Amino acid sequence: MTLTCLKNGRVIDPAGGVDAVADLWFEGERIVAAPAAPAAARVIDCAGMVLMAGGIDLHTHIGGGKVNIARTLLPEDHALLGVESDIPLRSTCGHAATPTLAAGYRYAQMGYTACFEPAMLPTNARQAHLEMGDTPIVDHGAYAMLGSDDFLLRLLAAGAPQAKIDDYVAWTLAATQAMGVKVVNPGGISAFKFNRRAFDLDDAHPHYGVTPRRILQVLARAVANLGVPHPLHVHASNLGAAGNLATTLATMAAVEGLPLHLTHVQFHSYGAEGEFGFSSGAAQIAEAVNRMHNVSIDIGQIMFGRTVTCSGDSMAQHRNFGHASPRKAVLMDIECDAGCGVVPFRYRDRSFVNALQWAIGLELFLLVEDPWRIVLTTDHPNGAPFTSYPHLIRLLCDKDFRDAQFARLHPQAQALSLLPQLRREYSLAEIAIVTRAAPARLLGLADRGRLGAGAVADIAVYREQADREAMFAAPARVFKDGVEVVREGRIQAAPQGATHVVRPQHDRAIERELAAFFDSHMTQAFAGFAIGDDELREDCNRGGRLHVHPCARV
Amino acid sequence: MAARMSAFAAPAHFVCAFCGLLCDDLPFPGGDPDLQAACPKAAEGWAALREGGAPSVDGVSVDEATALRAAAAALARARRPLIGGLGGDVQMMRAALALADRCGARIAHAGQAAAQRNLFALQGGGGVTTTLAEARNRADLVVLVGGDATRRFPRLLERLFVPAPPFVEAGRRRLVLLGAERPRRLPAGVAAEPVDCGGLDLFDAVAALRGLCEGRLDARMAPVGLAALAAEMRASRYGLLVWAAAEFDFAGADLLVGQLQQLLVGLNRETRWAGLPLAGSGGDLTANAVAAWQTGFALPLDFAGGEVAHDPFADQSDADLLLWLAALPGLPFPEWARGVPTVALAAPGLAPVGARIVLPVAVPGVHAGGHLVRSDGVVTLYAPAQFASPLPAAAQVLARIAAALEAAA
Repeated sequence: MTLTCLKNGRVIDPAGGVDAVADLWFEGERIVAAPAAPAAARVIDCAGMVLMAGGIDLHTHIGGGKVNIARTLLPEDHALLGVESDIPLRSTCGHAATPTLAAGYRYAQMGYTACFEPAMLPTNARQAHLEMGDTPIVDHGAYAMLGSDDFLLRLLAAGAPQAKIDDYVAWTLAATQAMGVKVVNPGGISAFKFNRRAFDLDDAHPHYGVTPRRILQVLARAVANLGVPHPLHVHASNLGAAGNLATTLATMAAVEGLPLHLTHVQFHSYGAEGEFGFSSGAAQIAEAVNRMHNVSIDIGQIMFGRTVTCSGDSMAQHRNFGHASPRKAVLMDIECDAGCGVVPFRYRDRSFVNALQWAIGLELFLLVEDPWRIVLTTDHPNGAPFTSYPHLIRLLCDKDFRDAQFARLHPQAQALSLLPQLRREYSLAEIAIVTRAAPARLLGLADRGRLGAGAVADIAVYREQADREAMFAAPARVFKDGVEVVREGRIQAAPQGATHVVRPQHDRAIERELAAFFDSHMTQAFAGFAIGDDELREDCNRGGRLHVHPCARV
Repeated sequence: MAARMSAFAAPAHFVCAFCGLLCDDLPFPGGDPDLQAACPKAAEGWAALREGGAPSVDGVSVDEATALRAAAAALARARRPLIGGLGGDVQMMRAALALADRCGARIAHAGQAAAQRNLFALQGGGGVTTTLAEARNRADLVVLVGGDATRRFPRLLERLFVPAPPFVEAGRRRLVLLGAERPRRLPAGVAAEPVDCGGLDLFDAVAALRGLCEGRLDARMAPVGLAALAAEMRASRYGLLVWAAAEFDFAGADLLVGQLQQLLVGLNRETRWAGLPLAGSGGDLTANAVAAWQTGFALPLDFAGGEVAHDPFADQSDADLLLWLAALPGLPFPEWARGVPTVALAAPGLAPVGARIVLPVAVPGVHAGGHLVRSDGVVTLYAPAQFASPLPAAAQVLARIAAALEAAA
């Protein structure tokens, strides 16, 4: 194995408490301590460079049915994509509804080495894994979506004990090869199938009678009981609705101190004040996050321009049908699991609402004090394509730049935002936390998102520049599992990424009930439902590795 | 063929890939004496297959290596190769796209015309769809539109009406026919009621329904049958429009599908409706799904010049080589291609007459395992092999051709 020394770079490793000019050594696919007598090492001069662990995106819609609907819906979205490369690459296209090949190449070019698809429907899990398997270079994993599925709602309506729900959640994680559990508009996607158009935290489901609050509680409890490292990943009720901050605050309180990850919280931080009945709730949400140490968030920042929104929240997406740009949108009910809605969208800085959404996202970034509980996302592609991350990083790091962008906004939105008063500028160490160290910790990736000895040699080498957008857009080098995959923006290798999963134990008695449910409600045989390890590795992930992360079942 | 395969028949899980419904509640055909009764489409697909199969070049049996070299040489010589057919599983499609990219080839599915009827409607104005289980569990009013979908999807109504739906009161579910023939297969106890469209053709009937449902057309101005249907549709709790675009073999069919989708969009302002567009046969949804996730575009694609382009209307008849992939039965071979030199990767019995080079491949779900996308576009099933077979998967043969190309380059 080749011993490599990245020499004299500024190593920023918040997980190890390091921010200093140092040599970073790796051998094969692992980072190692500096050898006592370094012999025959490849030495790469990194003077003037910043070294960070590979980026980890814990919420990016990179694979699965609704993303593929978005791609298919929008041939006009797909600009030709010339990926700079020193090896033959596959041809691909893309802007917002990024194809898998483009997503893998582009993430690697930005120094990202792992991506997690947050909304894998159990009945669509095979497709999601096949798509992730066609996403080159980056490691991947997915969260199984529960909470509007008929099996869980039936269990709750029947007053099933928590232990049975735990078994069902554990079975779902294993059968779908998932890394975590996500709930989207708890119960609301199912309620929409019964023609409910709004569904708040304490509304009773029209058929099953259960409330979103109860669904959140049992799922958060199940995730905690099973010892799944990633907290329940929550897309709260009332996405995008003016005044939804009350629901979001109530959602945080509902789990009664259990770990909770609130995703794309920007879309859930709206007040209903002012002339237009729409205002920023960022201060209240940030105050609650600062106070409640069981809560982590990612932002779902919006950026101005064209994108496409794709969400499992069919109820919310149906409300947005009229906003589709271009004027076409797709809605779907899905197989006792959930649903989806795909609405192309253009965020405009001269729109009051869009301008305020942009400001709210940044206010949240700047008001939440603990960077370890906040993750940089645009909810790709819902707020913006992930390719806008370097621009977003500059907005966080550079107050003057931020102010200049702010000055272009719709004037009434400017009048309603705190942003000019927020003087905070993210340090590089804080950027390293919100883009790699924090997501690694929140996912339970013990040997990623860090640069200590023993960690996987997923390393991004950035040329330190005052213009943080330029700095983070094109790393000088990127190593994935110790292999140089990018040099000066050019792809050098396109290895197959690994799949990350968790697999807590469950009592197999639940499978008898599931088999009966498949007979009465589903249109596929229970016998063929679960994705086996061989199928996952060989078929879905083209021979890539499978990492099963431990669960501390308590 | 059945006799020999029955000796190997596995009683385990069987997924039938012979139409887009991907039924996994049928017995393996090799062991079923009355397949025609269970499903005529499965019987037809099964009957098309032959045993054995050997590679051949110009009608002469050769070993696989010889056929692979000949196929690679033909591809290397071709100026405008087309990879067609595309009846197969996800792995075949992955390998076909990689090879097309490598060779600068065009790539298109044999059932493209029908697939595009749904695709253009979606790309023009979006729509509302559902999946098989939601359709079966919820629909209180099922409207079958145009032609006879059970000709191509024989078990459609069995799968929609059996067992009883959990969310519909007993006796409240109805099946009506809008410009559709009486289904040739109807489950016991299910009645199909034709709608009297007052002599309107299907385009005008659907346009009138839209007008009625959206309150733009006075019921007194419309045929009585359509006015009554519109009233029932608006009163339905969860309605279902079902169509098979392959049945719409007439000009402007994509506009008709677009009208159906906009009818659904309009109905969802007040109540719940969804479409169940039937497709997936011959692997068309599988091929389009993989193309879309890898490149962004549905088929057809053109990789000429080292980049990917999508022209849905491109004429393909200037192809000077056709690489025809038929791991599944039922793919229409294009008339224009009769004189084009053809390399066929085909299951035994499925190679087109006159193919210069033939490489036998496995049928997914029979000789080899494979992933296929079901008619609703959401459920991807793994169809396991039913017995040990020496036939290679199409993906493996494509990879060997790619390797032979590299070796010769």
